[in-house]
Order: sequence, then C-alpha cells, then structure tokens
Amino acid sequence: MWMSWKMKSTSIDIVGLKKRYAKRDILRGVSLSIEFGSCIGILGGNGSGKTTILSILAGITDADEGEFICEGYDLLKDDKRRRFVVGIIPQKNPLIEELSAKDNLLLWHDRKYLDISAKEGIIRDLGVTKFINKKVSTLSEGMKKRLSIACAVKKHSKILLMDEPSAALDIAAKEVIHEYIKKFTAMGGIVILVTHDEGELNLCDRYYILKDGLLSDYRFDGDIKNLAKLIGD
Amino acid sequence: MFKSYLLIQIKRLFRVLPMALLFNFLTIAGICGIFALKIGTAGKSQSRIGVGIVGSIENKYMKLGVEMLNNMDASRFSIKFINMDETAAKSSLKSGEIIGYFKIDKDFIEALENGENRPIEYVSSGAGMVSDLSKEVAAVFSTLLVNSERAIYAADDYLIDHPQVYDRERANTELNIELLKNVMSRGKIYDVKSVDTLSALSDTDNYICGMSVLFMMFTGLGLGGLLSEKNESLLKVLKSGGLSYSASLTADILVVSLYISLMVIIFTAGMALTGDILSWNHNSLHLFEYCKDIIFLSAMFASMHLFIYEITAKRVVAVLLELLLGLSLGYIGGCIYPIRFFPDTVKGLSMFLPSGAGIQVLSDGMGYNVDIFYFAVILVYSILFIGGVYVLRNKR
Repeated sequence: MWMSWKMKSTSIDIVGLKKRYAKRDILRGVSLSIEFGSCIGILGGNGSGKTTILSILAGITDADEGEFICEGYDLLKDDKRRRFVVGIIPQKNPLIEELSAKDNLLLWHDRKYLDISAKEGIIRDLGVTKFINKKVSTLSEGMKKRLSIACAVKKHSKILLMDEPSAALDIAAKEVIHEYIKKFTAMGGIVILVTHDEGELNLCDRYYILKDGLLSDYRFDGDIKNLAKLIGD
Repeated sequence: MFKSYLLIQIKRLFRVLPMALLFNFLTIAGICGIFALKIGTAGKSQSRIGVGIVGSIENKYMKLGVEMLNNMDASRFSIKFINMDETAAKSSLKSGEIIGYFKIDKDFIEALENGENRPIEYVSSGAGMVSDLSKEVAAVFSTLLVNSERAIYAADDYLIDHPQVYDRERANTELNIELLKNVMSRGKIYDVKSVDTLSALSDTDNYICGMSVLFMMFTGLGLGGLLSEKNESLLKVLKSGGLSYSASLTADILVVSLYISLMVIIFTAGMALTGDILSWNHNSLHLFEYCKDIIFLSAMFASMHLFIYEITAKRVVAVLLELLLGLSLGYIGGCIYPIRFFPDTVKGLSMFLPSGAGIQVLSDGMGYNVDIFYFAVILVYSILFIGGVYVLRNKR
C-alpha cells in the first residue's frame, strides 16, 4: 500500500487565483508552485482568504479566474480528475455523529479499500481501527480529526488540503496527525496547510503569508512575535 | 457518491425512525384528543342554537311538528325552535340569540289542507358556518314538516273521497305513527350529506384526506434527528467529493419522502383497520391512485420540512416552527374542520395553501374529479421549497 507515487511532473502550479465576494476582492491573483513531496503553510489574519484558497482548490467554491495545474491538467476545470487526486480536511469535522466511524468511512470508500487500509494503510496508520465500530458522537476530538483525515484521503490522493488540522487537539492527537503529514509528504504527496499552530509550522517546508488578497513568500525563523506582527499589519 | 450518500441517509432515517414514529403518533393522538375533548365539552356546555318561528303554530299538527323538531338532533349541533313575534325575532337575530327565523302565515295550514304550495320564508344573517347550518335547518324544516303534513292532508283528502278503499281513521293513525317513527329515529330518517364548496368531497373522505395531510405535516416533528443542526462542513466536503448540493438535496428529499409516504400509508391503513374508512367504497384502482397521490404530496411536504430545518439553526426552534405551521396550515386548510365551515375568504385562501390543495389532491385518489389547479399549487410549493433549500445551502 505504502509506496511512492510516480509523477509525470515534479510540481503543481496555482496560477492567478481571483475571487471577489460581497464587493470585496478576497483573492487578487494568488500564484504559487508547490513541489511534490512538500508541505507548505499558508498564514494570514482572520478573513484574509486562507480558507477560500482551500475551498477553490477542493472544488467547493468557484474561482472567478485562475488555474490549478497538476500533471498538465487544470483541476479547476476537470472535476473528475480533481476528485481523484485532491482531498480536503476542513476545520470542522465533516462527520455524521450518530453513525459509527465505519459508516462514515463507507460514505467515502468501498469495503475492499477499507479492509486493505485497516491492515496496511491510512486507517491503521492513524489508529482508526481501534475505534472503527464506535459511534462518532462518543469519540474524542482527536479521534474525530483522525477519522476525518481517513475519510478525506482516498486511494489516489496526491494533494491534501488541511484547514488547521490540529486546532484544539491534545498533544498525543497532534503527534499522530503530524506523523501522518510527514508520511504523506515522504510518499511524494503535497500538503497545503492553513494554520496558526506553531507545531504545524515546523512541519512546513515553505510558508506564505496571505494579505490583501495576495500571497507573499515568508521565511519562518521561529520568531512568532515577528510573524504575528506581519500577519496583523 | 450519490448512492453511498443515499444509503447513509436511509441508515440514519432507520436510526431515528422508532422515535420519530412514536413522536408523530403521540402528537397526532394528542391533537385529535384535544379537539375531541373540546368538541365534547362544547356540546355539553353550550346552549342549543336557536331558530325562531314567527306566526301561528296553533294548529295541532304544526305544533306537533315543531315539538318533534325540537327533540331532533339531525346534526351534531342541537337546535331549539322558539315561537316569537317578528319584532322579537329580528332583535334576537341581531343579538345572535337565534341564527334565523321562519315566517309562517297564519292561514298556512289551511292553505296546505287545500293543497296550496305556499312557501315558508326563512330569514337568516351573514355567511359561513352559521349560514350553512341555517340552510340545513331550513331544509329539515321544509322536508319534514311541510312535505309530511302536506302528504298527510293529501292522503286524508283521498281517504275522504274514497271511503270504500280504507278505513279513514285507521289509515290516518297508521300514517301518523309512521311519521312519528321516522322522525323520532332521529339521524336515521335521512342521510346528511354535506357537499364541500371546493369539490364534492364528502365529510368522511374530507376527514380521511385532512387527517392524512395533517399527519404529513406533523411528520416533520420527528425528523429533527435527521434534518436539524446540519453539518455544513460535511455538505462542503461532499461537494468536493463530487456530490453537488442539488444531488445531496435530491437524496435528502428522496429519503424524507420515503419516510412520509410510509408513515401516511401506515396511518391510512390504521384508520382503515379502526373502521374509519371501512365505509370507503373505493376499489383497488383508487387505492393505487391514493398511494400515488400520497407520494406526490410527500415530495412537497418533504421539501417543506427540509426548508424549515434549513432556515432554523436549532432543533427546538425547528420543531416549534413545524408544530405551529402544522396546526395553522392544518386548521386553515380544512384538515381539522371541513373548509365549508369557514368564511369565503378562508375558503379562497385555503385553495392556495399546501394543506388545502393537499386535501384536494388526495381526494383525486378517491375517485373525485379534482381540478389540475391543485396539482399545480402543490408543484409550485415543491419548486419553491426545493429552490429555497438549494439557495440557502449554496449561500452558506
């Protein structure tokens, strides 16, 4: 199950993403290139448009303009291919509380994939097998987040979009998720993180600050005060 | 993705089903109980509805006729005939003590004896339920009193003219006994059939359709577990996964429609078993039509419930809104009392309500000729509710 993917190209390109909402330019031409096997962090103040970028890349929101090129295809125009390679983990868990973890997984995956994954895949890696038959409403926040990731990552997912994945989680749960992110990128996948968490920032290979609808490259040196100042200005 | 989502929603539905069932049956039983209690108490506590009789009732047959009517209870409202002069009748009518009065000429009986067809004038006020009741009273009066007595006099004349055929005295006595037997058997003397002003829907069928529509509206009360406090995050991720908002909405409507259809068919079968529709003289084709109409209506009510749960964030608020809408739409739409009891303005409004039009649509399955207008009303509501949910989901 775990093996590196063979890529036709070495990176994905987000080109000139624009989004106007309620007479306000949320994104004014966001562009960046991300290499496979890397994790990037998008930082920004509240309402700066970080989640909008993820929503556009996941196909939840339509962009006014822009391209999302992966292996020669514009995924903003090719829904089928996008669904095949992109997975999203929103900040709020997309789970059905009254059903079991297994029922939730079955919404996204077939039984065959679940069985394999429980033995040697993501379900095992994230420790979901331990609570697979439990009702979601009885699970801790950390378990729910792990289950959300297991739901989002499909057989062929190459790009993971994560919106503050370890917010409000305990250290142990954060650790499991951080380990999985490392494993996913090690396999050649791309993780795009929207985060405010210092621990998550350390997972990233590159950082970008979203301000006034534009992305700017940022070199994080561990100085949180400086980062807060930059975001806040 | 659609299939997986549909299966998951059906699974969720079956999880909430026992509680939803219990909740729905208890609610409908409670509502029916309250109304039954209210009608029962009203019947005991209220004085009888007064109808004035102006003119001479000195003739013994006339007096007997009025006394018999005073003891008759042809409708569920008791009626009392009061002899009074015209001035008193007019003021009583104005003050609401009586609902109308009959004006009988002083030589009315003599005219009858002579075979003259002299009409009795009936004076009433206003429109609506009271007026309908007055007409019923007038019909009873005219049929029982006038025609019967005219027949007796005609028979008496015949017996006088043909003394060799029957013993006049014996025949007269037998005739009068027959009349008394018929009148005193109260409700059995004639079949009271009320004709709705919107269609020819009988009271029994109106009751079946009305209760079914009311039940459909109250099914929303038990759907809180399925529809309330939606996980918007899930809908967004589903969209990302290939299940558009319109597809998820279609699946939701299918599941809720299935639930409502099943509930109402069980409810109707229950009514049949308890005897309320045993007199329903409909064949299997009509039953099929009835089920088809239930499914058509279920889709509209499903979209209505979805819309209510979509516009409210909290389950308690949604349930209260469902209850309030169910009661008000059910009442104004004629689910609790037939719409013909209401003033014309309410009748006009009822045609455009989901409940009022719903009753008409269901009556189509009972073999009544229903105007396509009512189907159009239901279709328009379905489109409006579905459109509303779609817009709200997209907006979020």
